Amino acid sequence: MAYHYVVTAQKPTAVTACITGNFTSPTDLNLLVAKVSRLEMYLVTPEGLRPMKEVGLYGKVAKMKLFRPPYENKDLVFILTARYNAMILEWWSGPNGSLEVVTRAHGNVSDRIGKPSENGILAVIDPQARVIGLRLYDGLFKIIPLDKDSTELKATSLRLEELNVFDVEFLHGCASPTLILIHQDLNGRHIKTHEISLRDKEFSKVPWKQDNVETEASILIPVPSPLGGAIVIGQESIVYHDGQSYVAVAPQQIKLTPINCYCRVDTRGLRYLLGDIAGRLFMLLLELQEKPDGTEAVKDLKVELLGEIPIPECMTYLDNGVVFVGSRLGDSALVRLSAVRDEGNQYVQPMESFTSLAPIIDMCVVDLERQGQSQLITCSGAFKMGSLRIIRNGIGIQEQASIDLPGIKGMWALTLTPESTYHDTLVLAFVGQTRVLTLSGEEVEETEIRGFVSDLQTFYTGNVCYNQLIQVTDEGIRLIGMSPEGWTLVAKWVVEGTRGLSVVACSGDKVVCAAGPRIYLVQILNGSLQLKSEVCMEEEVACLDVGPGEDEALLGVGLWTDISVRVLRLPDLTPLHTEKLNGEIIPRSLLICVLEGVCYLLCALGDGSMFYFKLDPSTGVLTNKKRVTLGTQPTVLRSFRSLSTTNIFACSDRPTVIFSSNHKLVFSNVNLKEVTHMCSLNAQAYPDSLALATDSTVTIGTIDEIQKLHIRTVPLGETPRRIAYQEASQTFGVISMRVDKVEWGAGGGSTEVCVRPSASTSAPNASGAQGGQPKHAPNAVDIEVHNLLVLDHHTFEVLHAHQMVTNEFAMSIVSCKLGDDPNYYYAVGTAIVNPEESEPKQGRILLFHWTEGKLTQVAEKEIKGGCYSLVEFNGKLLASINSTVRLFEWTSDKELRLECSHFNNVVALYVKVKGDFILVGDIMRSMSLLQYKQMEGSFEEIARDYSPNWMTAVEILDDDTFLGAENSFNLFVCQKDSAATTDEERQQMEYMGQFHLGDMVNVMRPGSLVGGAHHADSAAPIANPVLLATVSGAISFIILNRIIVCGHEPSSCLTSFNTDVKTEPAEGFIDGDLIESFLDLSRDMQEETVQGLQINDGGGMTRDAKVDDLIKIVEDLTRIH
Amino acid sequence: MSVIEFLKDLPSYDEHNFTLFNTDHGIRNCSKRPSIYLPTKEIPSEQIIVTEKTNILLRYLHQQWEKKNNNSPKKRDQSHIEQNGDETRPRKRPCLNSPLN
Repeated sequence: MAYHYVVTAQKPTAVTACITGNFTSPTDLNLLVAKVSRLEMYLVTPEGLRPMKEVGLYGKVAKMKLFRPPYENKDLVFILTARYNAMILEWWSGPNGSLEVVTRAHGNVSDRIGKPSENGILAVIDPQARVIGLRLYDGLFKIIPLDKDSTELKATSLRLEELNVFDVEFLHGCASPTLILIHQDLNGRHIKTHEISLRDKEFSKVPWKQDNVETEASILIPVPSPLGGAIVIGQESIVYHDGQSYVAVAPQQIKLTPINCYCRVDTRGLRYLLGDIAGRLFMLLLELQEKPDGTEAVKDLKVELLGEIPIPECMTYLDNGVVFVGSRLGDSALVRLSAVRDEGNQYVQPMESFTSLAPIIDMCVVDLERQGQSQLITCSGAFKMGSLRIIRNGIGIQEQASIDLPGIKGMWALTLTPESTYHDTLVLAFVGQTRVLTLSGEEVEETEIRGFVSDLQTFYTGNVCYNQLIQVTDEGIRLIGMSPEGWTLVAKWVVEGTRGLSVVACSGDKVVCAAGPRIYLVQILNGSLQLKSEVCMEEEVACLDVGPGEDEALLGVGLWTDISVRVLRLPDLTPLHTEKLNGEIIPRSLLICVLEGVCYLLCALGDGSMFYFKLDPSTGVLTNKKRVTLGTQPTVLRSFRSLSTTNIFACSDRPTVIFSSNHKLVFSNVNLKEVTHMCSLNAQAYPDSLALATDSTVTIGTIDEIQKLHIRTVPLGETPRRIAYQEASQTFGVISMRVDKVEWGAGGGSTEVCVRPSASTSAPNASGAQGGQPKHAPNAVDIEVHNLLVLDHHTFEVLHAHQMVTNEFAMSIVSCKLGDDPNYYYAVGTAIVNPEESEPKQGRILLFHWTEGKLTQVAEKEIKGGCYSLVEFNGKLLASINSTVRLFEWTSDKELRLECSHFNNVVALYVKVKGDFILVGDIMRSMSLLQYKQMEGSFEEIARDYSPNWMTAVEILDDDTFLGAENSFNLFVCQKDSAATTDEERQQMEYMGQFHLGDMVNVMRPGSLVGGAHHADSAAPIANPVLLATVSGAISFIILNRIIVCGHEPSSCLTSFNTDVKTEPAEGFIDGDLIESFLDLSRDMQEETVQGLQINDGGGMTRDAKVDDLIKIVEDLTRIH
Repeated sequence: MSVIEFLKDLPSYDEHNFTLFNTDHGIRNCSKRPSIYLPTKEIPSEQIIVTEKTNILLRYLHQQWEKKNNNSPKKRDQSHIEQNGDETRPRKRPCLNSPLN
C-alpha cells in the first residue's frame, strides 16, 4: 500500500487572533498569538517580545478570548475552533522555566441541526466571568455558565429572536449577564440588549434598545464600569450609547474605508485604537464631563488618524505604548505609539516585523542559481502589503567585503593586540608561502608578523596559551611570544626524519600533528614546546582532530589505504576504537565537535560524501554511523560560532552549514557556489562574521541566523496574483492588481487616482491602457487595475508594466514556446468583468514577447469568457475558459487558432498536463481527466471523480494518480483504473486517500525545496514531490512513500476528511508533522513509542524495531523537506 | 489637541518593558519562533463541556408548564390535595421521556 506523506515545511503565518494577559504567571505580561492552528506564547520584556512556547491545535482557531474568574490570579483562554470544539486552557510555569499547557475544560458545542451563521462564529465572555456566550447558528444563542464546582459545564441554546446578528458583546457592570447586539432586519440595523437569567437559562428581559443605528454598523465595543454602555462603530459614524443617552460623531477620516478591528488601551475604557482595512490606525478618545450628581458621563468622541500600520486582522495593546498588530494579508508588526510625529508625519512607528507569507495566491519553483537547489517564489500578501517572497532552503551569507586573492590553501584569524577580544589579523596560506593581512577598521592591508615564516605554506596558526602564537608548517612548529620589542620567535620544534608535517590539530595548550604515519603530541608551555608522546599508525595519516577536554582529550584520526577512522586517547595516544569506512575514497577532513551537548565525529571523504558518528567521550566508541553526500569535491570541515552556538561549515563545491536543532543534525545549503576554506572572524569592523575563500577571492560576510527556511521579500505595494518564470529571457512575469480611487471632477467626469506608489505605477517602462473611465460601474469609488509586470530574475526589479484595459481582469499567465516559433512568449488570459453578469462573457488571450528590454504584444485572441488558467501543451496553448477547456495552436501567421474544445464542466478553474493527459479541476465537480487525441485533434474524457468537491487546486502525481484540494480544507488522491474491466469502472476515479489538512490550498506545484544533500542510505526516497501553498501562508510538502514501518498510525478523528456533507476517516495519508514530533520526545518516551513496533530488516524478515531504527527513518524523512 | 491627550500617560504595566528594545538598525525582523510544546503528560481536564440535548422547543414547553403549575395552582387541585393529605405529588406528571426527544 502506498501512502502519501504530508508534512509542513512552513507553518501557517497568518495571524488570526491576539490577546495580552497574564498567562504564564500572575506577574508575567504575555502576548498570545493565534496563527490558524497554532498558538504562540510570548513574554513582554525590556528587550522586546521573547518567544516562550508554541502549541499546535488540531483545529483552526475561530475565536480566542481571555477571561479571569474571580478565584484565579492569572488569565485563562477560551478557544473555539472552526469545527466547534471549545476549550479552556491554562499555562503552568514549571520550576526550570518549562511550560505546561493544561486543558481546564473541553467539549464540542456543535448542534446536529442549525444553520451556521453567515456572519461567522461570535464568542463573548461576561466581564465577571459568569458565562460564555456563543452565536454559532442563526436564531440561537448558546450559553456556557462557568460553574467552578461542577465537573460538567452545560452548554444550553437559547432562542434569539434576532436572526441576522453582526456583533455581540457583554455589557459591563450589570447585575445579571447582559448582552448587547447589532442585528439587521428589513428596516435596517438596530442595537438591542438582552439580560440572561442563568438560573432559568433564558433571556429574561430587554433592558434597552436603539432602533435604526447606521446601516453599516458592525462593531460593538463594551465600555468598562463605571461608564458602562457600548460604542457602536459604523462606516461613517461612531456612537456611544449607555441606555439612557447617546453621543454620536461622524468623523471625516473614517468614511473612506471600513474599520475592522479595535483594541482597548486603558482599563478605564476611555482610549481605544481602531484599525481599518486599508491599514490605517486611528485613536478613539471618550471625553468626559461631570454631571450635577457627581458622576461622569461621555461628552464627546474624538477620532484622529495616527498613521499607517499593516492591514490589521487583530490588535492588542501590550505595554508602554507598544501595540501588536496581527495581519492575515502580510507581515504582522510591533508598533510604538509616540506623542511626537516622525518624518512621515505619523504618531506610530514600526519596531519589529513578523514575516508572513499569507495569503499565498500563486507560486513557482525555480532553480535560479543552477545549483540543483530550488527556490520558491510566491505571490504573497494583498493590497499595500503585496509582495513576492523568495523562499530558499538554506543559509545566506551577506557579503561585507571581498579581496581578490587566488589559490588560498588555508585561512585563520588572529588577535595580535594584547587584551583585545576582536580579531585583527587574517593569515592566509598558499602553496609555498604565507601572507598576513591586518584588519584596521574596514581597511585591509598586508603586513608581517615577526617570527612568522612567510616562504612556507602554513598548515595551522592561532592564538594559544600564555599569550603566544603558533605557526605550523611542514618543517615543524614555531612558537611566537611577546617580547618588549614585539612578537618574536621563542621556541621551535622540528619534525625528525625525511617526512614533513602534513596535518595538524591544535587546542589551546597542545598541538597534535602527523608526518606520514607518525603522530606527535606537543605540549605548549610558556616560552617552550615539549614533545609529550608519539605513535606510529599502520597507515599514513590523512586527517585528524582533537576533541574537547583537558589532558585526556580524544583524538580522531583518518587513515589512508585502509580507509578507517581511529579514536585515540591523549596524552599517551592509546588506541580506543577503529571504524572502517567502506570504500576506496580517502578521508580528507575530520572534526570532533560538541553540538547541543552531544559529541559528534564527522569525517569527510574526497568525493564529497561525509560519515558522521556519535562519539562517546568516556570510551571513545563511535556509534550511529550515518552517511550524507554534501558535494562532489573533497570537503573541508571547520567549526564556527554564530550567535553563541557552535556550528560546522563544510567547505566544498556545495557549501553546507551543519547545525544541531532539537538534538538532530540539520544540513543546510549556503547560497555560495563554492567555498574552499573558511574561518570565523570577529573583527571590530566585521563582528560575528565569516571569512570564506573561493578559488579566486576571500569574502568576509555575515551569516543569516541558522535556520532552515530563508525568506526574502520583494515588496510590490499591490496584490500579486499569478507568477510565471521565463528562463530564456531571465525574467518573471507577474500579474498584479492595484486599487485606484475614482475622483469625480466638477464637470461630472472622473479620473483614476493612484492611492500610493506601487510596482505598476513606478515601473520604468509602461504600456497598454492608460487611465480611462470605468464603463460598467459608473458609481464605483474604487476600481481594480490589472497589470502584467516583467521582473528581472536576479534583482527582482520591475522592468516593465503593461496595463490591461478598464474592467479587464488578468486571470492567468504562462511562459510558453509555441509550434515552430523559436521565441518564448508570456501568454496572459483575461476576463472582461461586467458587474451585471454572473460570469464573464468576454475575455482575451494576449501573447507578449520580452526581448532586449522591450515588451511587444505579438497576438491577441478574443474569447467568450474568462480565461482561468493557461498551460503549454504539446507546443500549443491550452486554456480553461468558463466551462470549457480549449486548445489553441500557433499558426505560421502568428495567430492563435482554436483547434478543439471540451465542454463538461461548470467552471473549469484549473488545468494541469502530463504527456497527452489533461487534469481539469472544476469549481464544484471535482476533477476529471481528459486525453488529447492527436490524430483526431480532439479531447476525450477518460475518467472523472463524481463527488461534489469544490476544488481549490489540482496536481498530477503520476500517470494514474491525481491530487486535489477542496474548499473544506481537505486533500484527496484519486486514481484512474485503466485495468478495470468495464467502461463504467474505467470512467470512475477511485479514491486512494483523503486527509484533512485544515487549510485552504491555493496552489500546488511539483518540486521540492531540497536539492543536493541526500543521504546515501536514506530510508526516504523522494517520489513525485509536490509543494502546496495555502491561504494562511503555510507550505506543505507531499511525497509518495512506499516504504512504511509496520505498526499503527494513531487514528485521529481530527485529520478525518470532513466536509459539510460527510465525515470520513483519513486514509492513504501519513501526518508527517506527527511522525516527526517523535524526534522531539525524550529517549524514554521514544522507547515507549517503539514498543511493539515491527520493522522489515530488508531481507523480508520482520523484527522488533529499535529506537535507533526509528530515529534514522524519521530523521531521513525530516531531511526531504 | 486630542492626539496629545490620547498619547500622554499611556498605560504601563512594567515601566521597563520595551526600554531596551533596539531599533538602531531599523525595523527588526523577528525570525525566532518559540520552541514547540510537545504534550507528553496526560493531565485530565477538570471539566467537560457538554451540550444540552433537549430540543429548545420542548425545554420551553416544559418551562412554561412548570411555571403554570407553580404560579396558578387551581382550586380544585388544592382541595383535592388537602383531602388526600398528599401535598407533594401532583396528579399529572410531565412526560420527561418524550418519544420526540
